[in-house]
Amino acid sequence: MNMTKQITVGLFLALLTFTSCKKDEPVEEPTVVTPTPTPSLYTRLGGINAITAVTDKFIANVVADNVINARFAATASDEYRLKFFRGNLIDQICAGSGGPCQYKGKTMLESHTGMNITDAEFSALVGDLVAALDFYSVPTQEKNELLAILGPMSTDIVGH
Amino acid sequence: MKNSKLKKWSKRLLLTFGMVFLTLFVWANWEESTITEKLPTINLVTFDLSSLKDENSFALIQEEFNSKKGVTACAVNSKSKLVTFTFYPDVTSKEELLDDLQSLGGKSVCMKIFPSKAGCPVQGTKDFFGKIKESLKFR
Repeated sequence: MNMTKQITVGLFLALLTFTSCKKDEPVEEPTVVTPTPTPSLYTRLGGINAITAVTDKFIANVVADNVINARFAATASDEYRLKFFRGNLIDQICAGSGGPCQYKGKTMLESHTGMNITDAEFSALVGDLVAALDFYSVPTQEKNELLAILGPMSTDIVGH
Repeated sequence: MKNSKLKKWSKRLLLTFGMVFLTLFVWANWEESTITEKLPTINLVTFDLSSLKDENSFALIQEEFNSKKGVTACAVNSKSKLVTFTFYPDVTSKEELLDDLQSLGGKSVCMKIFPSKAGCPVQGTKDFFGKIKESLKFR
């Protein structure tokens, strides 16, 4: 083997060793960007304290509203019933918006059968809820999402 | 002889009551209170404002009472001429709210009493056992 050949083989072997060493170095992985999940409606509304504040305002609105307050007469006059009713409302909003609550009350159909609630009364109730949400400046998106959860209940509440 | 019989019956009666109380106590505390049950209790009161003629008075009442200590919500309805408050009973009271309202709107402002048997029949028989459970609950 002449000198040139020896140098070429030597360089080739050196290159091989070099590249094989390079293989051990960490390979840069392409970064995968995972989209941050949107917080639940419960979180966006402000959690249990915000829901409680809206619920209290809603109850006050309803009891001051002559169109429907006769339906809530017993609730307004009895502390225990008020506590029960308020708890059920908070649980319903909290659970419906993805919070850590469980609604343990009767179904809407069960609790409203025999009451013959009219569309006008239901509209007044929704109006009182919207007024409570507006009072606390709940953003339009969250307000609409909440109303979309509660809205379908009207079929179980009205006309039974 | 008669005395020992009485003693025996008293003991039995005491034991029975003790057992009933213990059962109710265990039943009431079986589950931990939920996040909602742990919330402080509120009371509610409604006042008739039909004697108020000035529309500005309604806005004034709304403004004054929304920031009042212990009041969790104040709703003034100018059509119904009613104002309803929800409040923490350990911070303020119906009487205090009435006094404050009368100082703003005159002595003719009075409490509206709702009939206790009318309206939504949501609870029914749950009331009795619910009240027992609540008074014995410590968790």
